[in-house]
Amino acid sequence: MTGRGRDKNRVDDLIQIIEENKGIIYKVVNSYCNDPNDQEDLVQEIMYHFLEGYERFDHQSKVTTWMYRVALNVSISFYRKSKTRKKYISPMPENIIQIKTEENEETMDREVAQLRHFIQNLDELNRAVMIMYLDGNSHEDIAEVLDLSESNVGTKIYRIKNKLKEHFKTE
Amino acid sequence: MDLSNLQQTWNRLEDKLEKSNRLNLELLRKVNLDRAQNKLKSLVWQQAITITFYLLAGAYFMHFCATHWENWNYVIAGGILAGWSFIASASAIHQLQLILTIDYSMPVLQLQKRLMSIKTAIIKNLRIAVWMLPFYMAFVVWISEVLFGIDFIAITDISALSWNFILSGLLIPVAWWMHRKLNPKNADKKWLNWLLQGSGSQLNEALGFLNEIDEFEKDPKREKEPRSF
Repeated sequence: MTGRGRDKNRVDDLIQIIEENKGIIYKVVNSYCNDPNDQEDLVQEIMYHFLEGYERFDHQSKVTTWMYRVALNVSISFYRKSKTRKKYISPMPENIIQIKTEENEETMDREVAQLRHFIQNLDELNRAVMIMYLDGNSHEDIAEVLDLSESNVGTKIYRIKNKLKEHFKTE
Repeated sequence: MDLSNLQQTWNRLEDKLEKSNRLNLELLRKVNLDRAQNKLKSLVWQQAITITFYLLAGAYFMHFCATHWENWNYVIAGGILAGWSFIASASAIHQLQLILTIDYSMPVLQLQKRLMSIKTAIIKNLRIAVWMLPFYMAFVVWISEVLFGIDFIAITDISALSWNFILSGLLIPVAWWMHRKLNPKNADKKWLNWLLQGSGSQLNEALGFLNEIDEFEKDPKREKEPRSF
């Protein structure tokens, strides 16, 4: 098969994987970024790193583990970059994501909005733990994505949930 | 909020996001990855130029030693300068290796640490630089020979020479003190910010995050999660 043919297959595979797991991207992006314009930029960066890294993905770990790693790494880095960020946006076609902003906050019920607000107030690393936990990932998977021990993940989840409990007591 | 249904609440957020977002994945086919790598390329070029400079300087000082083999003053001075150049080039090679092996599919803590340590490399380079202070005589000997063709050690009287050696000795604790002061914790200080060409606040932020990662990594004593939670 020619190089171009391989590339086409690779992109086809990746498109299918992203399509099946796009919820990961939406939730990670939404948790690390509030501004709709920035969300578009962040999705672009994540997509770029998916495309760029998929060739190296060895399928030894789950594809969702790989997606979480890329999405979280890019989002945390994006979150930490300040004004200089725009200079470095990778060239991507516009409109790779369409976000209907008016539907975001208004249509969210109170509990969802509260949970989202709580998660956005966690520090970057605990936020990653919580996103994965709420997505139903096992402690083992969370530990693999973050490079922590499973017991450490368990303790962190326990502490975050305690914080959450306190948070809602006071609201 | 009912905390036992956290995941259900979270799934409701997912549903909302699914409805309000639409990924146009077909556009991925149009992405030109080569064009997107400019940022990385500029970092790689910067490091490549630094490495080339230090390696050439190291090679030049080795050549200086070889061509002045009959005079131990020159051999020692050239050896010190060559050694320093090679240490600096080794540090730059390490930085280049870190940049080239950035892979966003690495575990989150590993990658974030790597990104932060690339950002803080400038402090390491300054630390290497200050250790040349006690060896300033090597520069003097080399410059005297190259510019004026004179052997500084041979023409200087013993008392002036002794003072220079004493000064070199005194500069060791100064270099040690500066090495310690060139500490990530001082990145917000004006003088260090000046040395860092105004990038002190960014560096400070990077180092703060490195500390956060270290704290986050610590495995605390297991706290048992109640089943009912």
